[in-house]
Amino acid sequence: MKVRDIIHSRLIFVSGKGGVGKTCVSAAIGKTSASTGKKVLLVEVDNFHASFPSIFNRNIGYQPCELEPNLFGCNITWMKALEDWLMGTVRVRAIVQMILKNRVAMLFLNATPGAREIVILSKIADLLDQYDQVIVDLPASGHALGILRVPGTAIELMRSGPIYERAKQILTVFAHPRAMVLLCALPEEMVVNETVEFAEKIKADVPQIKNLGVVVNRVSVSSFNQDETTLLAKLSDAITNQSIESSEARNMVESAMWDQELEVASARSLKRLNAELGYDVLSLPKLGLLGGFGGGTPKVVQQMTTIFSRKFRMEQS
Amino acid sequence: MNAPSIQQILEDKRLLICVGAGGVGKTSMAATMGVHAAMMGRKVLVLTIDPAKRLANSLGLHEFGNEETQIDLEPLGNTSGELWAMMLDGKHAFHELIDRVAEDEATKKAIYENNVYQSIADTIVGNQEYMATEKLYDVIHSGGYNLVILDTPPVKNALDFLESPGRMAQFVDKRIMQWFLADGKDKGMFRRLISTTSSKIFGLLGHVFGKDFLEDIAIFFQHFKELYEGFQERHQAVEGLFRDSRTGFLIVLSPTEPAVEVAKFFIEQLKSRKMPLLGVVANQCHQAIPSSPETRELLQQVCTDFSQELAVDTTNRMMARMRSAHNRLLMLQEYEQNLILQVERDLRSNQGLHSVPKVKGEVHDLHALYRVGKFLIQTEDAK
Repeated sequence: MKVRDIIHSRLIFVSGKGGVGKTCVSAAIGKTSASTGKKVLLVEVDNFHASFPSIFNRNIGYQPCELEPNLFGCNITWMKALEDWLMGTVRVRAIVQMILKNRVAMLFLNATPGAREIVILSKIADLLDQYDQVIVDLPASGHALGILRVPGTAIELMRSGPIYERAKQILTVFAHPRAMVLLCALPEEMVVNETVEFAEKIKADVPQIKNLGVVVNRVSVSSFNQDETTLLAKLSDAITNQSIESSEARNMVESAMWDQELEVASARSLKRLNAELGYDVLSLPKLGLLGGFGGGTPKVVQQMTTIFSRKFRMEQS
Repeated sequence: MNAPSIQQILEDKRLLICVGAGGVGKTSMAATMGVHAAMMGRKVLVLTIDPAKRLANSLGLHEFGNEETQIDLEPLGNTSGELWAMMLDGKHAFHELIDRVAEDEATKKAIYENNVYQSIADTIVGNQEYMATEKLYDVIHSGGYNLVILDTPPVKNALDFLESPGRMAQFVDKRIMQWFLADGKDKGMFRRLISTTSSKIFGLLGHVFGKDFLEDIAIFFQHFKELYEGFQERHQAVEGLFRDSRTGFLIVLSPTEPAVEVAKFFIEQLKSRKMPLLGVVANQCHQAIPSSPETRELLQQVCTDFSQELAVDTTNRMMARMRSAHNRLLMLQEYEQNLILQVERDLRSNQGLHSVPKVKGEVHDLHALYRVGKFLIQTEDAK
């Protein structure tokens, strides 16, 4: 997979196991695309605890606002999207307000299965017309799947009416040749397992979306030569059999062992993902302190953007 | 009041709920505590409602389903306790509920074939959690376990989970049901409804959702009516469970900015919901000890001894590597401690902060879980 496959996408749903860097990757792709002159929208979905504001250091509300030249952001909340939706179907503000103020009607709307997801996805589909690229930062795997499955279910469920029509339109949007699901992962066995499992479920349950990409974060490139590997193995044995007793010395050896462990896990994870998905997945190096968030999230996003941009330029030439 | 130690928590509580951001090792912590409580002699069930099969992975199993599965503790030694694990499957639990409460085969069949039921049971976000809490209630009241440890999905959905008894119960709210069931017969209900005075909005909703769908819902409610009383009762019991004195919450975090932000958010949320927070587990903390020149000399010597047969620069390369890796580790440790301090400030005196160092290798077998848990319990001894 190439960076250009992502940059040229019209609609990108980003997901993956929790804590793998979905939001940072979403923001970095947005920045990269925007720098190529595309008009880009970053979307958070009905999020209690929005993450984009801390990356861009400003409030981001329901109405898209410009974060950087060409790059816009919004947080699509259910109540606001519902109001928009009702305006689109009922068309009279007074009547929309009557529904929104009716307690039983609201109880019903809040509780109706799938209503929330359809209304939000529908808003995303509407926004697509105004931007060259829309990037949606979805929740972690299981729930992202729940959301993406809803239009298909709604079509079977409703059989007619505006929701049915909208669900059909959303599926058309999903089927756009340049719509993709982008999964973020880490070079760890459990994360790789979940990513492979999620990719299979997306293919089976949301067959409309044809493109599936994977970005592996915090990858360490192999740097230990054969002799260093041999020496470190001996040091490691010396720690295990207590022939190095000083805890200071042990700590120093262990820190080199961490580095090596990450390199080995990275190689193994990439190999497995490439084999399962049938193409070479994209990888990003460790950023910040030992791959943590040492420089702060905005800095990590900036570093990721630099990497994406550089790879993109190399692919173009 | 002193903060309870993890050991005390595992001895005293009946339900322990782990919450926190994704990727912090919540599931591993739940499993770790399960292993230790079982080794202390308790009969423990570790439950996950996470749609991903992470718990099985961390217990070294490929997968387990909706059934309670016993984990063999023999590799760890003798204990009178037991460890069980289960993944809660919302759809399965819903089927069980219908089977239990439906009056006869015909009702059961009618519910199963109803479109609305299928959608609720199958794909809808939120229901998974609700049915899971129903099951949780069963498991706790079956009396089969001394301790149930619940692992929840990452943040955004864990909140859904805390709220979901409310959300699903709303759908079968009496007012909504009465609205649909005003005139009570199963055919032409919709037409009957729109002829009543309170139905203007209902008509509008029909416009929004489609009349067929509302008719399906009406039929669903018609069948569901009998289940209603039991449903409400159980919902209240589940809510009560979350505030019970033998229930407690633990927030799990790893020392990274996003996870710490989420942890602080949870401290706030649990407080405002009056749900009992027992403490915070800071997982995957890097540990570094500053090294003296003597230590480095010693290592230099050891490396030289070990690399007799290796390329001449190997010792120097390794020393440079260790020094740079170790310096990064020291910086990282300082940074992590500052982050954890931020969380500690938000805790009350009866809420402890327990830290677990990052261990080598991934934690996905019984022995690794046990080792990690020892840190959790040893920290207590050290205090």
